[in-house]
Amino acid sequence: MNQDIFLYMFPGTMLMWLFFIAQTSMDDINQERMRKTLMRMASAPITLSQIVISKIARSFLLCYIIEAMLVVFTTVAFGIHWGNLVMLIVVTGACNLCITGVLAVIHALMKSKNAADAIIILFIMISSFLGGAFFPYQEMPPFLRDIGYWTIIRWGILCLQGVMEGDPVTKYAQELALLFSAGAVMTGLGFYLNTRRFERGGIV
Amino acid sequence: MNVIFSMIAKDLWRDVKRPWGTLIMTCIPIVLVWLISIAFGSQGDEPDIHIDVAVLDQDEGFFSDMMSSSDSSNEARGHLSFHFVDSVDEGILLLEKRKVSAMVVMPENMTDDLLDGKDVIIPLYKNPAQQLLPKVIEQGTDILAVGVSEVLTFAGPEIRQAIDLFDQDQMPSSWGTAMLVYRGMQKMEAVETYFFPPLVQMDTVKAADFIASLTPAAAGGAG
Repeated sequence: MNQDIFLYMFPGTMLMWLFFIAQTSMDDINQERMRKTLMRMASAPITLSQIVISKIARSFLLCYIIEAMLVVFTTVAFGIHWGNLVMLIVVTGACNLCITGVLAVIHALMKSKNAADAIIILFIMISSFLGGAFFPYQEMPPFLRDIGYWTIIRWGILCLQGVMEGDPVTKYAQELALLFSAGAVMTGLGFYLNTRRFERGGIV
Repeated sequence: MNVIFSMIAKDLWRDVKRPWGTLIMTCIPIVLVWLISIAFGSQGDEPDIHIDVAVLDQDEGFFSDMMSSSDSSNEARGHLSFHFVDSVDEGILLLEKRKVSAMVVMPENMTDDLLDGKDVIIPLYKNPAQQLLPKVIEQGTDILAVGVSEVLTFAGPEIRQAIDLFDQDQMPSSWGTAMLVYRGMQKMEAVETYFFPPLVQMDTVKAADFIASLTPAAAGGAG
């Protein structure tokens, strides 16, 4: 596979589909609530915050597993060079934190599974479009580029491309810092909102 | 903490036991990028772009001869082919069969009209079934028209004389040829700056030599 096209296309496409995969994982909270297994779990000596943390952490780890599979497969099958492994782990970790955090917040704010699904799909598609996962970012009008820069997909693409091209960290430090800070805030907020929701009776 | 770990392990184990949904979604980005790479990637080779143009030469003068000779040049041969046709209908048939991307009609007396400073209209028939290549030909024709116009503005009389000289049935006279070359050289001298701009040259010298060249006294002392 052509490394240039891969470098250009794959980070955005990968992040977009990671969102979808993480969504199916985070959706487990709603599934467990609908199947009443969440209520049964809560009757066990487990706190609600532990349940929420486990769901968020599971989604985060699942993203890492998927990324590891993608990296290994594309390296072996297509000979793609992914750059510094340590930086790749750091960058993908930051992306996963953001993805998981955003999904946790949306799931906490939506009252039903259907509403959460609809909003999340809309969010993923719009941020992928603006972030440059569908179309070349540089070809977009300036005002869309200005908006698109403030998407997780864009930050992730810039960081992953930086790692793959072997750029110094300083070149994508701003985007990496944004990913980590936004991820930490969103994950914390998602944890708080989900726990509060279940404590207030959202468990049934 | 153990409780959290055990719950995470349980959930992940559930994912492992039913992996197909996740695996299919994992494959999608690879398949998408692979398809895009096949569709748009060149695998490191030069893109194989070949432009076929139908040409109806109603002029049969100096400029149409130039165009036909450019088809046989080595550089153009790989990417550009001219298909000379005898009528508009024949050219349109080639367009309809998608054998060519466009047809250029060089009208009658084009060369004479150009040399006389008259306006010349070059009809261009574009293949509607193609998107990019007809536009490339249109742009190329535009550039050619501008180039020819500029050259004629600059050296129209000399070109007219050269054409007349070589169109004669007899051997051109030495004096006439010499005068033509002389006038051509005079024209070239007038625009020499544009054709042969001064170049910036870089050279590497030792620091000691450079300093010595700046200070003649030091250079004299050193010598």
